[in-house]
Amino acid sequence: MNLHIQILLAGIVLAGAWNPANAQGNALELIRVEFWAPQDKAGHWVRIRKDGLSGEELSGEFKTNAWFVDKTGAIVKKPVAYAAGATPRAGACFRILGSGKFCPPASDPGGSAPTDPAPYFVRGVVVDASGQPTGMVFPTKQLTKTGTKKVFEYRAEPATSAFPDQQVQFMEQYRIRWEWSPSGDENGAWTQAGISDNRLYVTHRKPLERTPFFYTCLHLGCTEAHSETNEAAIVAAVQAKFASRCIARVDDAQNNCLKYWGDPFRTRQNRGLEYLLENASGADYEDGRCQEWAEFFQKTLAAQGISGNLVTALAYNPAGTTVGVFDNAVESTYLTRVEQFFGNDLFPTPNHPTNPTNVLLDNGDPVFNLPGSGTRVILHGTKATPVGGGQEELVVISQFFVKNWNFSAGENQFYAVLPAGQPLSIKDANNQQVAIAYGADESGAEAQSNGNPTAHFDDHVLFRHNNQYYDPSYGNGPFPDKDNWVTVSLTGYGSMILYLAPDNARYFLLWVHENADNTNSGIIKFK
Amino acid sequence: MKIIIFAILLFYSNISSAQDTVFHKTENTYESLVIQSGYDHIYLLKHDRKIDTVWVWKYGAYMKIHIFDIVYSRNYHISLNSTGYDIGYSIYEYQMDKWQPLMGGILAFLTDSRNKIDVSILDGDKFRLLEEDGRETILKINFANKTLEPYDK
Repeated sequence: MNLHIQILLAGIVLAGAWNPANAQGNALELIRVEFWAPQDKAGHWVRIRKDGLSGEELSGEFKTNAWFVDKTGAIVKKPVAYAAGATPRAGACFRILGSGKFCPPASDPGGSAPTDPAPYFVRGVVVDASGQPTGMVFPTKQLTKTGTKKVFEYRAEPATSAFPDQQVQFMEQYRIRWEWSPSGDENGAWTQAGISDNRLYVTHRKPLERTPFFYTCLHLGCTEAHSETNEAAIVAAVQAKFASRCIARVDDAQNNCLKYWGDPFRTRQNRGLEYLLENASGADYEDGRCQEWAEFFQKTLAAQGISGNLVTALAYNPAGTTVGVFDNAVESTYLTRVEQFFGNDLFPTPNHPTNPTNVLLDNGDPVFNLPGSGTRVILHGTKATPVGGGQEELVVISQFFVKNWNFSAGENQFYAVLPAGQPLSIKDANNQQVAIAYGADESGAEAQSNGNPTAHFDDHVLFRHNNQYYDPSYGNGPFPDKDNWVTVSLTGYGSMILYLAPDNARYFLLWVHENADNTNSGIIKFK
Repeated sequence: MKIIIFAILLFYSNISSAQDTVFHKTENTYESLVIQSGYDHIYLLKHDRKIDTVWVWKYGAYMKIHIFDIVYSRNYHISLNSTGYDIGYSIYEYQMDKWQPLMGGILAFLTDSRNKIDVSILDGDKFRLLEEDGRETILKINFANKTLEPYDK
């Protein structure tokens, strides 16, 4: 380079006409932003799991690559979550504009100075949708060289402020404007290297578990309770969403409402919250029982650091001590009515006593040994050896009936699980009618995305928080006590029977022992 | 007769508002189709695009029957289904120019401790049950005696 050219270049620099930002080959381009667990409050880092069965974690145990340019040039984003009161910590990676290079995995320096400093300084200014600074800043820091000469790292640094204590937040776009400068002078010339944006969630408190939360649980709690700061308001906001009876998974483009007992076979097979939250290809999933729905509610609050427990409702004999089955007195009344109503021909052995070998039971019999034709009646029960030994006894399993039913024919009667008033002819082995049962089912009670779900159960799972009860399956609550839930939710108590008709159709019948009213809510116990 | 059947089909296809196809399978020249319309399950079997049979099962207002498979084998129409409470089967036989129920029943009840069972129809005359713990049961259909009998491979 001759002297004239050197003098010319020096002149240009001194005149300020040369701006590195405009110089291809020197300007920086943002290619990755990662968030880290807070250094001082590791428990305030909220881990996120993809909905469903995959087990894939969207966040890392301590770090999430929340925004990055992949090998194809596309921008990939992932959600990040902290608990309120935490100071977010972010790192970033830059390359010389146009170099096409990529970043090595981020390293966490624990706040130390760069070990191999690059001639660039970077800061991250958190901005709102209109580009105005929110006040939160990731402070100026000199970049660190990586193994690749054209790639530099802003090693993880805490923001200058924390998220407000207790306040739930959801930010669809948590935007950070990344700026670089050849010097660390805050008042010097800063050039934008790119704006990252990703979903950011802030939970009310530190979550109750360190294990990852399903994405939908986190999203639901933070979106519904956004800006709330007190526990009661957060629980109420979550309950309001469940009361809508239409909750979709966060990443479901179709916004399918998750169902309660949508397809009974699938519902029964696919047990666990992961099935309820699995993508419904072929409508196999997105369907759950009361257990899954109660867990859904529980985990949504647990992500916010709010505790509560599941309780199970069971029918209890008014005069007995057993829960979930009939005592001897009720059983005797029941079997007498069964025999009266159906006659003897529908049972394997005429004049059936309480001996379990003389009736067909749905719980414990090798049912494929049933005769393959003719009409049959199968009771909801099992066998048990009495305390102290002896011959096995019949044990009838009790049920309760969730609204709405029309049991207007009274108690100690049989009703078909058919639309109210529709007759069902019960026929014996000779195809002769022995009885008529009338349908009792009325639409409702409306549950999650199901206006008329299965409504006779051995048990039901609810959620208790602060001595109040929530029924997430139906979106109902809070109930001040158990009796209030019973009064609002149930029509009666009894047991069920399966009737196999001559045309191979299967029908459920209910025996109503008592209609539910204010005087007998004690039949239900919460365990 | 065919006109009546078609009329029923059209009624359920066009007039009834809430209907879903809950099962559809094409096998050789046969086509099995089950439609849930309100409280009814309508079973159709078509051969060479003509409807061979129609029958209707009425179910509880809220019930949705899950159909695993339907097999047409010799003169038998075998279906395997679940109410969510049980796994059941149904066999119809073609006799005297019409389909008539031959036998049916329950293969298993689903309980809290027994809720994952894979079931299938084998060779047009057997049911196979595979429990979650790997236990396998094969039951051969004795069409003459209308019974299911344990089958040892």
